[in-house]
Amino acid sequence: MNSKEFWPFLFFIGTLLFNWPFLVIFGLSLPEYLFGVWGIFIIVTGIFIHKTGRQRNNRV
Amino acid sequence: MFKGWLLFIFILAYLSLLFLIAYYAERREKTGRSIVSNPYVYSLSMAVYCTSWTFYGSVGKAATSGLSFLTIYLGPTLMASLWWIILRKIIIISKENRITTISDFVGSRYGKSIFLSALVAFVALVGITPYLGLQIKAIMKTFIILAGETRGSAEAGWFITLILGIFAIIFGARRLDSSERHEGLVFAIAFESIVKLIAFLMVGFFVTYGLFDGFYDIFEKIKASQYGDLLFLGGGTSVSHNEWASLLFLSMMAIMFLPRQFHVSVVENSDVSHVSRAMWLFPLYLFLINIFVMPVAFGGLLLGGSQADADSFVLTVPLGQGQSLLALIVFIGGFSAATGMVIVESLALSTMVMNNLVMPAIFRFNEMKGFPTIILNLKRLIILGCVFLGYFFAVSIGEFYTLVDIGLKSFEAVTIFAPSIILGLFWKRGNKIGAIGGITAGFVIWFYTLFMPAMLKAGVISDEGFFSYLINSEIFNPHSLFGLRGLDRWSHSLFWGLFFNIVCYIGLSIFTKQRGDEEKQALLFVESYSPRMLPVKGIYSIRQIEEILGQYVGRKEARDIIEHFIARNGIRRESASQDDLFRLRDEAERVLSGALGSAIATIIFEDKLTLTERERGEISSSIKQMTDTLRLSRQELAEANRNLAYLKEFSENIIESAPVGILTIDSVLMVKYWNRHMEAITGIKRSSAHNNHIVSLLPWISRDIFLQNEYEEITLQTPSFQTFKINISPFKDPSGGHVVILEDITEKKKMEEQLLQASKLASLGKLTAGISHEIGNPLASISSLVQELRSLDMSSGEDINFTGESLKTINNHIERIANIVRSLGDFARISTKEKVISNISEILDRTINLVKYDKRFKNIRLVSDIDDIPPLKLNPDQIQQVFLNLMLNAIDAMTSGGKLTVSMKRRNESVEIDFTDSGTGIDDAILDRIFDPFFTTKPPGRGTGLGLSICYGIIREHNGTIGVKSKKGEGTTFTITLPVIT
Amino acid sequence: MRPDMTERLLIVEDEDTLCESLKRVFMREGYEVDIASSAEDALSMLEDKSYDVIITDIMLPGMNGIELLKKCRVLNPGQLVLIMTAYDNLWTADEAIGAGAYEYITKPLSHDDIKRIVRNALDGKAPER
Repeated sequence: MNSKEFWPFLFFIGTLLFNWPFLVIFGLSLPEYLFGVWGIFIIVTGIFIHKTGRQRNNRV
Repeated sequence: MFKGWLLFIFILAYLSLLFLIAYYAERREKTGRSIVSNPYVYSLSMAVYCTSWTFYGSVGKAATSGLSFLTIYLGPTLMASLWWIILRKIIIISKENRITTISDFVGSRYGKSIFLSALVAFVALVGITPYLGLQIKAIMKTFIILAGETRGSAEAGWFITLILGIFAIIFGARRLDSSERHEGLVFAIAFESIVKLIAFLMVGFFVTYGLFDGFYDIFEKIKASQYGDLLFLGGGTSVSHNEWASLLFLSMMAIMFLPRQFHVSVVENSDVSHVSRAMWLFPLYLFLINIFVMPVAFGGLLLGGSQADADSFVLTVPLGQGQSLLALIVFIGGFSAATGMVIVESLALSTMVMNNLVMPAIFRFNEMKGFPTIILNLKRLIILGCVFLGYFFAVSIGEFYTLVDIGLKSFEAVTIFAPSIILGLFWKRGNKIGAIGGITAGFVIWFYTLFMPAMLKAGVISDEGFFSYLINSEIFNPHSLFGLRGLDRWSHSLFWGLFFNIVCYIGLSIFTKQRGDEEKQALLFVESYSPRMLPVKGIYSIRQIEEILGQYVGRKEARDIIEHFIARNGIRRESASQDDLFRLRDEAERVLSGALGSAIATIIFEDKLTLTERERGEISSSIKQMTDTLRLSRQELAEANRNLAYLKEFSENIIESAPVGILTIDSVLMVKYWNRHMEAITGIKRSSAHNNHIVSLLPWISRDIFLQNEYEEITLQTPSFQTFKINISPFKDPSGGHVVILEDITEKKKMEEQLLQASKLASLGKLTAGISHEIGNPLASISSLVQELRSLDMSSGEDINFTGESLKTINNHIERIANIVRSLGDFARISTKEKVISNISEILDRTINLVKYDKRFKNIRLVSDIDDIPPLKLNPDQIQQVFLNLMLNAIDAMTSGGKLTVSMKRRNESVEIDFTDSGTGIDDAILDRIFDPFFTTKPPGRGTGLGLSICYGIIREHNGTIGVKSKKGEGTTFTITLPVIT
Repeated sequence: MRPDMTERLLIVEDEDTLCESLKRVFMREGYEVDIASSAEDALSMLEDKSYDVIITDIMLPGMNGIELLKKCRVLNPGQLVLIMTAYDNLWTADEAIGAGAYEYITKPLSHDDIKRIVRNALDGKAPER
């Protein structure tokens, strides 16, 4: 999966996770849920960036 | 508690620190060791997003409506994941097109429209200035809190505003080419981001672990309290899921389209690759700065603060706990948050106002003396104007509204740009009219649903008359347009705003055409083409560029810029290439557009030669057609070449395999081509023949022949007794030369001879019967007389008389025989091959005599009319053969007797001989076949059919003609004409 | 055999000299000789007189000797006819004999030969060939 596909995918997942269905599901411990997902989202972004950065360096 | 003036000194000190930091960063940049050009500073500069709203307002919001504050930061986090696609594209396009503001971006996309960029600038100004004002208000408010008194706060506010304006001027508008980045400014902002983060973390830590026992403790306590709701969303809470989603969306728009965000993330970006790191660094910053928001908010509430004052918990809580130092740090943190926003936003706004609202009005005055200075000062003035406009807002309106409230309104305002920008990046059809329509519609909705109610509430406008009716109606109620109830303000406004915005944008784009530069710009933006890919602009000389640039930025400045560029790119003034000039001109345009906006800059350079996309399309399709045709032509050419080579080979084969010798000579009689048969005929090999003179190769051909320019056909005999028929044709080519075809007819001639002989014998055969009779009779007579004479005894005189008489008679008969024999002998002799001077009348006479010996001749009346003809060069045997043949045929035709007329007449250059018989005649149908070889009308065995064809051949060889006229039943006439040539 | 005992000959020949010569020769022998220079003349003469032997050339102007021979033989089946010719080929000989000629003789002819043949014919002897 390349960059062009990954980001919209991540965005879409994030939008879902931060919105209604899941907010209800995790309704009882929202702060934990929100901050938790938020943190994971950032970490995933970071990892993927690191990977593509490495790929590009290798390719170059 | 600090005394006001002490605080003031702190502020001054901090501001001085900022100045120093900015200055340091600029120094580093000048020496090439930029401290700013890295992804960390880049990400931190983006944190200018976190204003006093973040610092104070979040806590306030958390205390009043729980978790909804998070949306403001979750949105940008989500959006950051799309930066890879969207932000990078925007940065690339903006750098390529020298775009320095968001209004410029929009205007540029839609055909460099001045109106559109002005519209965007206007909307931004209206939407954001209030918010700018509230930052100043926050500074003033926190100042008052910390100082414990209101005295001097107004002056402080005013003064701080001025300082901020000056900071913005110094670090953002020192020169007019603001397309260059402001590393000093950016570094200062990044520094402020660190300060505010640290400050907040400190107070957060203090509250969470100092005043309470950690997160869990606070949350449990809050749950137990009256504020338990705050931990939840949706349903019975104050924040619906709709609102949550709308706020999320609004913050996503804000992080892209707030002018200050556009400035730091796009304009100040030095390297597109920094975006990738920023995609998680920036969200990380947001994460960190929000960790302690809820603890501080809940802590504040738990400590007895009211929701109404929650905005200031961050400051009041430590103050209340006696932590003055912490409070000061917090104040500085908040100050950083506020001032960062003010500086950057005012710079961005003033650039927009300057380039898109003011410049279009005054740039035509460029002839004015000192114009560059005027422009620069104008810009500085506008910066000050912006900040003081904010100040004005701060002191007049700010009372009634929270930071968050005004903040969200400005979020909604910049969302108006979203369709035009986002759709404009990916949809080529989006056009200017659509953008204008969409933005206008969005602005109207925004104004009506958000701004106007605020003004009403503030008493700026009054609720009366028609206006009142409008507002309170069902359909046009600002809070429930068209009857849409149940939505919170933000969702409601967002919904209708976007709805009309998008509908107008898409609808108008579909139903109207793009004009002018729009197509090209659309292409540039959507396809991220480099403008360099588009064709030629007019060429300006270096001097011209310097002159034009000088008119706007100042002579010295212009010269410096140009010298700098020339030096950096190693261009030589005298021998600058076209490409160099283009690049220099691009640089000049870049400089100007940073200062004046790209639309104006382009007009200044009067770029009239760019083509519309359609023209470009036509050119490229013509080029494509031409290349295709060329390719096709090349293919056809190759094919034709192949065919030609094949034909050449084919015809060479023919020439080589022809059973005749073919050679060509040029105009000086040098042999150029010599085929295989020539080698066989002459024994001369091609290699020896090539480029040799033909006379040396074939000496028996006289060179005179080649001097003719006409077709020649001659028959020659070589010394080696070969006979050749030679055809010589001149080339039609002006370069001259001839084609010579040699046919060895030696054998053929031999056969012709034999045929002639045979024909003769055949004729002879016809005569045989007659002739043997003609000879036999006189012979018998002689014999009889002799026998009589022998039986005489010669006694009587009678006998003697008789003897005398008989001897006379015998003599006569002998003469008769002798004549016949002579004639026959003449005829039967092997014919000569040559033409000699002969008397043709004599030949005809002789032939007639011969024919008389045909017994059948007895019944025929012969009429002869023979002129005297001068001697001619001919072959007497052959001619005789012809005459004989014709006469015998005539006799054949007159079986029951008739009349044969033979005439020979001289007619100018030729002799005409006619043989007319009164015989059976020849059918019209076969008349033209009688000269054909082996054609005969006689029954089998009686005629060979060779006679007439041989006659024809003989006459042709004498360059004469033979023709026939006949009428069935009446007779036939053969006519021979021979040319009189000696 | 006729009562007056003089044998009559008819010579048909268009070569005058020869004709005259032969007439003299046969008259010296005591024959009565008439001459004709064409077959037509000969036939008209045959209407008036009859002859014991007819001597004729083949090549005659108009009707040729063979035709004359046939006509004579029709008139008088036993008519003795002698054919003179310059040709000497089997074909002509066959034709002549087939048509009823007593003999044929080639020109130039010898007086002795022709006298003998005529005598033989009149004596009723068989032809020599």
